Amino acid sequence: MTRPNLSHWQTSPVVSHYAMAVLSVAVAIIAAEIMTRLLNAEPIASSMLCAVIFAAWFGGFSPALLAIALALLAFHYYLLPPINSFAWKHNLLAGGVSEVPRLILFSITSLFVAFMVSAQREATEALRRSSGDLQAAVEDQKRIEAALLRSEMHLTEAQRLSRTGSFGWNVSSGEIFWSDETFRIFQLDRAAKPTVQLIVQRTHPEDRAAVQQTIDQASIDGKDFDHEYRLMMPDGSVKHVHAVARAVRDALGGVEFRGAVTDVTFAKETEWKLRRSEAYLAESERLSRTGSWAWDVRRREFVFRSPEAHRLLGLDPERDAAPAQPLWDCVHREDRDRVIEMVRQALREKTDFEGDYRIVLPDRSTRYVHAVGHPVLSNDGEVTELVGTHVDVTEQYLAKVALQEAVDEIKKSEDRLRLVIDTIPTLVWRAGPEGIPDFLNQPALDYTGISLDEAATAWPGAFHPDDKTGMLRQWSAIRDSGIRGELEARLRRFDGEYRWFLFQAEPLRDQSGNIVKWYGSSTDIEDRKRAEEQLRRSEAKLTEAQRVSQTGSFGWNVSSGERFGSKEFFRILGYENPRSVTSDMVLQRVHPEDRAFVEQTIDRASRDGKDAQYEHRLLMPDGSVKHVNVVAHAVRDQAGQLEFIGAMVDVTSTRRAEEKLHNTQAELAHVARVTALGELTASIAHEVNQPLAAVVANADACLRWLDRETPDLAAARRSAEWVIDDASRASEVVRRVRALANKADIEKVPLDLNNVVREVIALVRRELGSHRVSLRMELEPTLPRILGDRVQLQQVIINLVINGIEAMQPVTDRPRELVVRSGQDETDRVLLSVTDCGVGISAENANRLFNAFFTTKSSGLGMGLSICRSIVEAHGGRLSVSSNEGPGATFQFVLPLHREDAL
Amino acid sequence: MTERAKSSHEPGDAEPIVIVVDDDASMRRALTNLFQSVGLAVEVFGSASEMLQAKLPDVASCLVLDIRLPGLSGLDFQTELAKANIHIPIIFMTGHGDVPMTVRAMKGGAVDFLTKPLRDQDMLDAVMTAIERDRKRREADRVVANLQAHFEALTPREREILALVSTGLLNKQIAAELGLAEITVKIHRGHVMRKMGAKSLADLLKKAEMLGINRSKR
Repeated sequence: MTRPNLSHWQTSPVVSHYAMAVLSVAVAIIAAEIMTRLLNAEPIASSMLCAVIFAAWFGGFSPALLAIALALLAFHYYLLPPINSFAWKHNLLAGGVSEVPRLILFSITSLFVAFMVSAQREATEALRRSSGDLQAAVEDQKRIEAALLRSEMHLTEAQRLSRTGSFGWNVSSGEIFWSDETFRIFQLDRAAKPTVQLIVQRTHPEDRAAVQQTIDQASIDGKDFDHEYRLMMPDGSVKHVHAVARAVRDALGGVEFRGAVTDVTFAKETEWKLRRSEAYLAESERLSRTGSWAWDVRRREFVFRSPEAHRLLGLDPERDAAPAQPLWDCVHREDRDRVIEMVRQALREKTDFEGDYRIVLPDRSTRYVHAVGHPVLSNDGEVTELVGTHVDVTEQYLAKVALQEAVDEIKKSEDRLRLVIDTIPTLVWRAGPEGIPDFLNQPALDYTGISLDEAATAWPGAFHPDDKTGMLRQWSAIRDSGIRGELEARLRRFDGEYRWFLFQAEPLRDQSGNIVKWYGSSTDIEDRKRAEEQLRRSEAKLTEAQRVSQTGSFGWNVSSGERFGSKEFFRILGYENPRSVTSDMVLQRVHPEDRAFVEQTIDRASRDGKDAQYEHRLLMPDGSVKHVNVVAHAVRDQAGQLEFIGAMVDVTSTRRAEEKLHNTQAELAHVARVTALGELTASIAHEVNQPLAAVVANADACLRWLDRETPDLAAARRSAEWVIDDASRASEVVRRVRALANKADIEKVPLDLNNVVREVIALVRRELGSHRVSLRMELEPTLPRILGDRVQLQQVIINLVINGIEAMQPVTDRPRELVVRSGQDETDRVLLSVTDCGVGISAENANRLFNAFFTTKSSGLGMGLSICRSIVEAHGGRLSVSSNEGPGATFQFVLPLHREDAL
Repeated sequence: MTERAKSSHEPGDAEPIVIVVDDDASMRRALTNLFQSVGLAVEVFGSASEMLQAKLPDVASCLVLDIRLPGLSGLDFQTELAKANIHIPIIFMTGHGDVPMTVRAMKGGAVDFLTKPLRDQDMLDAVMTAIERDRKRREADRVVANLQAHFEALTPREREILALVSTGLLNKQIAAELGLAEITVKIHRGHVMRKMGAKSLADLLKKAEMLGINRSKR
């Protein structure tokens, strides 16, 4: 193609030159024709000449000749008769002899002009060409220079890219030349003057000695050197460089080294990485027991075997070479033909091969190998190499064998399972997705008495008629939900008895998640059902019992604050179905007068963690008052937290009845006391009055005897005697009354006063409770005994306690608290005090307090404290009263010690 | 002694007597002493039943009764006596009296109600009043008793005629009433006048009235 193209470009100018000549002549003819027609001139000769000049100038001499020839033809056409005809003009010479000179002249002129013009053209052309040559020469020069520059740049660039710098070293002059890259490698400024010293200084300290030695050696021997060393950069990084130098002797015989220094840090690192990656590969091969190999088909030998491939064959990769043949020998005799055939087929069909076979190691042990091979094809499609891997799959093989054994075992255990399913005492069944059982275990068949064949249709009939509808609905709901579910229903036994069963069903899904089967079990829960029923009944009974007995139960976890209350509990408090109970809900209902007492009691109980029992009133929203008795039992839960379980009993009616009874009793007692006292006084008065009346009467009579005209002295004397007599009798009566009062002799025995107090408190606890008085006992534990009458001392203490309770009756703004203390005073006498916080005692009353018949109470007789004092004084003690610093008063008495104790 | 003797010698009735019932011996002795000191006769008893069993002289008397007695109480005794139509005036004594007790006693016809110890004058005044009242009563009783005795002496016919006379009928009317001759009536009437000791018709009528004789009563 190139060739024709080239020939075209060589031909073209020549043809064009001739064409030009023809064209010039044609133009000249046309021009002449036009001028002849328009101007009637005959410029044909001059125009032809112009055409020849034109042809000569542009085409050269040969085209000019052609133009001349054509011009002559044109002349022949125009000037020879017949003019303007192309017919052959026989008489060339006939008619136009006149024209011949003109033609000759024209010819000569044309030739000359053509020659001149073409010569001129040649000269011009030659000049132009030589100028072109000069231009080309200059351009060549430029191109060479550019190429040099480029080559230098390339060199520099190459040096930079290859990290290779060049250097020169004139040993004798010590002059060192460095390329840019060398400076860059050494990270030195271009302005610096490279010296040996500088090089050594830049060298890694560990390599300095070696470098110095190499340079010294080179300077002495003048021989080539080649060494690698490390550079220590100012920023602490390390570079590996490889320096090569060749010695050149100059004309003077001096040695000059020219060389290159290459930064091989990257290569070093790559090498190191490669080494490491090879190590990894080897390691991974070792770990995966995979050996790789390459087999040269033509040479029929292994060209590569990884260390693991050696090891696989029981060979030492270091010591043993890789023999070409032993693999076949290694392969187990039974597998050998198969392996050979496999490889051959791969070679034949140029396909990968893969297969398992056994190899026998030198120690006669057998390994299982999985081999994979891949043919490598040459350009001409021939298999040149096989590359592949060997994997030691002995473990996997053994595992597979074990798995197979396990599967066999499972198969066996499945049979056993079947046995189990048919023997366990639970009804086991399986149903299709639509819920119809397709399998029942033996117990299920036995229980229901239906056969497996009829199970699909007969199973709903086995359920209790009352449960069937509900069961079917629930079963349908479970199936719709697609998750495990359960239901309870009664199932008929073969003998017709129905028992409660718990049916549990679990879906089995295929891989796409569709339920393929339902597996279920049915457990006999008849006993549980019965227990549940019993429990339900018992709970109902409890609720009923609570309602009837008006007893509400509650619980309170002190630490967590969690509370609960039974229905009755809330009913007593007057709440309609509250969800929970709070402390406020309870306190809100407590009667305002009892609130302080209740809070105090609850606080104490929760603080001490002890059982509590107390009574208080509730003020209901409708203004009615309820009495409740609260018993709280303190228990500790597993976490050791304090919890109260208790009962609240509505004792309003009881309390009302009791109060009524108590009031009646109190009234009765009071009436009885008043009556008794009245009778006593009347009796005493009568007894005393009688003799006194006699005395008066006798005395009057005596006077009258004396007042007579004749005083009857004997009668008067007798009267006076009787006066004395009767007065003595009156005195005797008084004496007898006193004797009567003293008649009850006190029986003094050694006593522990604390015990007496406790007995008394037991007697008055009801009084304390009904008056919402909290009692605090501060009894000295080691109290010496006293000598006294238990009953009388009890009377005294009861009196003081009751007095205290009554004194606190008007108190509503603070807790009613009564404190009973025992102890010893400064003279070691036993002391007992009863402190109330009631109305207290005014100073004026304090003096009269112990007088008989003195009372501040509307219903009192005024005998109590008087009697108390008598009793205490009869025991050799003293009863006193004092006002408290706060509200209330303190009564206290002291008793002497029992002598034996005192001693 | 002398006075007592003197009084006992008084004409008409025997001297009055004070009857004391008190369970207390010294009180009995003292009252006896007191009454004797003013010359009154005294009979003492320890209880109501003792007194009822005793034979008492039919003389003007009064009863000094302690309200508080063993067995029958003073007030109850008063009631019993009234039931037995014994109209002896009673003076009560008590160690401690009260209003209801007093009211009951006074309604029952007690002369006085005294508290022990007694003021002697009060007692003596009460006793004198009571005895005087008893004496008058006894006097009235005796008149009636005489008339009654006279009336008992009348024949039945005479009693009939007395009754008719006391109603204010004339002799003629009485004769007609009884179917007798007027003269017979006159004779009977004369007998009646004489037997009854009537000095006039008016006297007879008064006596008949005292006896409680009238037509209706018949």
